[in-house]
Amino acid sequence: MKILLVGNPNVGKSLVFSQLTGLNVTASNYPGTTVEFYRGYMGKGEDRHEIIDVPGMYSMEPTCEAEQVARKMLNYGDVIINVLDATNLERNLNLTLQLAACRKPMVVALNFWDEAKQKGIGINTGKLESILGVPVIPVSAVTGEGLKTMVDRLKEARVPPFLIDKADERWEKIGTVIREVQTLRHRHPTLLEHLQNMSFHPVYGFLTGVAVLLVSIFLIIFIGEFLIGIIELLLTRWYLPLIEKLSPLLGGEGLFHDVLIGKLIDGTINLEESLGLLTTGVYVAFGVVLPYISIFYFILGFWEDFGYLPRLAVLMDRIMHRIGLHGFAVVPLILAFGCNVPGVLALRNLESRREKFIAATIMAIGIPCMAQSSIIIGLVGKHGLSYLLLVFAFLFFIWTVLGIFGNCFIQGHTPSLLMEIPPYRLPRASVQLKKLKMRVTAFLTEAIPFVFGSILLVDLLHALGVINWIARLIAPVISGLWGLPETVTSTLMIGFLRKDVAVALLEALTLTPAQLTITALILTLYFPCAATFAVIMRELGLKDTLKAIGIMLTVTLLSGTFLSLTLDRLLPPQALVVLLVAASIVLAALTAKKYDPVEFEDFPGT
Amino acid sequence: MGNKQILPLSDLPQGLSGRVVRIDGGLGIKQRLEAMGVLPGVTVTKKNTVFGHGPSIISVAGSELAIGYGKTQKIWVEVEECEDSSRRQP
Repeated sequence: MKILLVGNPNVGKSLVFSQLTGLNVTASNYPGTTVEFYRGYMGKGEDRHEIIDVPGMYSMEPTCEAEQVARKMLNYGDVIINVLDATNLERNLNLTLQLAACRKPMVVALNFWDEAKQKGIGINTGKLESILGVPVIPVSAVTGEGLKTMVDRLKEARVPPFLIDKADERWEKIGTVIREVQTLRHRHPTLLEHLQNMSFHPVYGFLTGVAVLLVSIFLIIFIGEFLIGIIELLLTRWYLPLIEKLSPLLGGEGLFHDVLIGKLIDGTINLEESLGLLTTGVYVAFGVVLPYISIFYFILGFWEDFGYLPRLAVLMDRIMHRIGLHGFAVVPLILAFGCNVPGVLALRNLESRREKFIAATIMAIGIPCMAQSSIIIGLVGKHGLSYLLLVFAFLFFIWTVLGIFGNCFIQGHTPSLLMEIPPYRLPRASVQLKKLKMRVTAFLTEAIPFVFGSILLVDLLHALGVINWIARLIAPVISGLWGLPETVTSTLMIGFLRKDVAVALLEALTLTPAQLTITALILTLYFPCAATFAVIMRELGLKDTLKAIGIMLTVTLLSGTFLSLTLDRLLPPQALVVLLVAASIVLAALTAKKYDPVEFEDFPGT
Repeated sequence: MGNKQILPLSDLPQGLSGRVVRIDGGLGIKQRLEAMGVLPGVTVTKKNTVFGHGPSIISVAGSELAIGYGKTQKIWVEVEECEDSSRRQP
């Protein structure tokens, strides 16, 4: 039997899925976390059933790609579990009544039952059951309460005995149902609800937004550095002696030794610079990237589950319209700072192709993933905060320019925001840890093979002399335009595979701070890593991907040349930071009136 | 109380409620708003707006929605008399 989990966005379908199947999928407190379907199994033998977690949908008329996926899946299942948010019964029933048209057996699960009780919402499930003609089961996906009853009652699933076609009749029916089954008890607003009302305050709202971002960045860097310190201590105390013993056993030199351990630096093994799988590979993956990834996802996970991201999206809506996007695009962009791949996938929540293209270009060109950022912070940061700030100020400038450019020249329109704002919810430690574990495991299993693979590749390419050959070929750009030594060629080639390894390779080169900054920036801009490229191809199609690559190469050429001409020759990094940020703001302000999109709200349903 | 005021949702003062009387535009916008519970005959309450033509936060059908300025200009509401004392003077 194939069982579909169907419901509005953000009603907790993914949590129900995780609880039933034991598989972990990301669940957060904002609409649109799930953009593709997930499949799992529950039960054994005869009772083994396939469960499918379907992206959330508000109605049977899809308005974005995630909803299209959901709509298609409806034909595929045998039984529907319609998950409802009990705190929001009225709006949720709209989909329930429409699902009746599928003519499939259905049960209704009222999720967030405990939260509804706390909020003083009472629902007479017996009455609702007799009105809808299908089993209605109160559940709490977070604690797992009621899920067993729900599974037991699956065999009572019925095709709902009504069909309402017209929207106004449907809402009228919902009105009568609500009056019959729901009671509201007045109670005083909780602290969280007070906070909720504050979040759009013209002064405090914006201050909170800025504070949330700054505190998060600060915590990521501070705790990241702290974790790195601990891991570095462990590596030098326990791991390095082991490698030092291994090195002579492997003969101390030769291809095999070079690949595994790498070259000796001043006669000793250097975990950062030796460039072997067991030295630099292990150091980059576990010593630098892993700590930053962990703390980044810990903090992101907190804000996701607390429910702050949709509010940030609302606050940023006006600004985002300047760059051809609407507020919700903030969410995929933030996800991209972790890893571009989920960021690009989350673009399925955006309605128009134009928005997707603009956001994907900004991501692929200008947003370094956390793995890459962590190495940039470590490496560029050594030369002072101003160079590090310059990297990010330059990226900020690129986002603005790309966005404004896209907003002015890309055909189509960006509809204004329409988004549900979920209530604030206090994240549960157990759920948080599970999610963190899932994301870190995903990094370890998906990224680490690439990290080792790219180090292996750079060793082999060096040994075969390919790198020298290519270096001569592109020398006019590298040394001529960008003023960089030819040795950075290998890092550019590795950047196709893994950006973090590419930046880490710079450690072994002798570069001036300006050269290091320029190379780190070029590595961010010039091409997405293999994984991101694959997912962009899939989501945007060949034509748009080629366009994005054209823009990418132009941006890289211009940026590298501009910086090599100015940085530390004409201007110190501090001055460039101020200049770039000011230029971004002025550009955004100047283009605002002229190109503010005629708010063309009507878009064809698909 | 003969002449009830009809104005676009974007101009509805914060804290007031209004009954939706008309939504301008084609099927696309109407369907999308309807799916979220915004359709003629429904009462919406404006809870907040972000300044400078930002989105409005409204509560409707038990949930809170953020609606962009472009859309709020196309949703026409009839201002309702407030029953409770929490009314805020615009």
